[in-house]
Amino acid sequence: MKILRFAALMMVSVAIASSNATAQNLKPSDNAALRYWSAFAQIQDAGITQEQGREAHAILDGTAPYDDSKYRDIIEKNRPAVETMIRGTALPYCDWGMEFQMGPNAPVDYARKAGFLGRLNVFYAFHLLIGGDKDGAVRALQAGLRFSHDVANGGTLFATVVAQGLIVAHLQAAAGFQKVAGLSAAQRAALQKSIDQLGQDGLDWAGAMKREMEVLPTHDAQEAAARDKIAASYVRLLNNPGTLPELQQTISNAPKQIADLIPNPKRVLDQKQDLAEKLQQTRTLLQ
Amino acid sequence: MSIPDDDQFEKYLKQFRPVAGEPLMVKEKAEARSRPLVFAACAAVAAAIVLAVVMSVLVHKPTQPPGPTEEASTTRVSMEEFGNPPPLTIASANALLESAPSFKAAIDNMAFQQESKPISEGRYSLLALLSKEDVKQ
Repeated sequence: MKILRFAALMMVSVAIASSNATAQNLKPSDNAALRYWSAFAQIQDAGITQEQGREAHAILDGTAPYDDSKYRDIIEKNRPAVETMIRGTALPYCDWGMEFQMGPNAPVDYARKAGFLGRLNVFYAFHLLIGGDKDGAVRALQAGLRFSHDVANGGTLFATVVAQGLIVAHLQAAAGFQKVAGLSAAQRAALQKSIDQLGQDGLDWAGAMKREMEVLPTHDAQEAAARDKIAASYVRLLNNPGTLPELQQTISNAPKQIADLIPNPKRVLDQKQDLAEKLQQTRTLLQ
Repeated sequence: MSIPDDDQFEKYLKQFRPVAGEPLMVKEKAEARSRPLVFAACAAVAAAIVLAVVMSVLVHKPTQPPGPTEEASTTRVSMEEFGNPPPLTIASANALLESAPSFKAAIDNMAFQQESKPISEGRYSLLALLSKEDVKQ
């Protein structure tokens, strides 16, 4: 019996030691989030007009042509920020250090800044392409896809939605490059590799919603139980869209204070499916 | 010094004249230092009291996010002065997502309007002006 206890104790000790070693291997200087924050600090703001904003949307959606004469100054001013971000995407991990102990008051400004920088990167890729640097443009798109994925890493719904928008914008640009400029086999292969690394769904929607539910404030056991039930149902939905009615029913049966805080499951599901479709379309286009 | 006799010694002593004594420098310096020290100590105690009061108010403040009116009143100055968007939290981000016609609209709105908000009404950054110049070309 004593031998068994000793063996169990040794196994636990080894497990703890190995987990510590793993944690020690993650050097702070390898955390891409720190590099991304550095890039955010380098961003040069530009007070664009409403009209320019609409035009920028249209370019990112692929419904308007990119005119480099309008954007090159802003892009060149922001080249250091974008290049810092691109260097960050080569780092092995990304931890934004979310303060989940703050609950719903946890700051998520990084996601907003990331949305801005990611869009700048799409324009940067256009700028490089028009300047004749097609390899550079592809490199920017590859980095942008990785950056977009990192934005959602360990975050809640908001960061995931921002990341989804960025991935779609980069995929749209990749499709545009292929259609308008034509990409070499090597360039297409490079983009395909980056897209494949995102996985089938592109993002971890279930993980994001799980974290989202965990920060929901509850005031009593009844609310906590309702929240946990919704969380489990939400995760099921993201693995099986057919369970949407079940989740909607669970939400409507929950206390109002909780039900009012639950993100619309139909919208979340639509976003997830939209991203999966866009990924598939772009994969096919680049083949 | 050798003293031959009493007369000479008396004569020698009479040469001495009383002189008004100068104030002791050491004592004055000590006093000069001690006053600011007392002052600083009093100021530190006062600051500590004020800090304690402020901290106790903050600690006892409810942790719920401020309501729309409160938020507007507390962020208006900084937003107008520096053109910075209000801090974004999980709760406020979710509120934006829910209130917008779509998730995409919420994100687009943040990316192109709040982040690049003018410094104040009628005042734009240099980059904003360069951007406008580009549009005219």
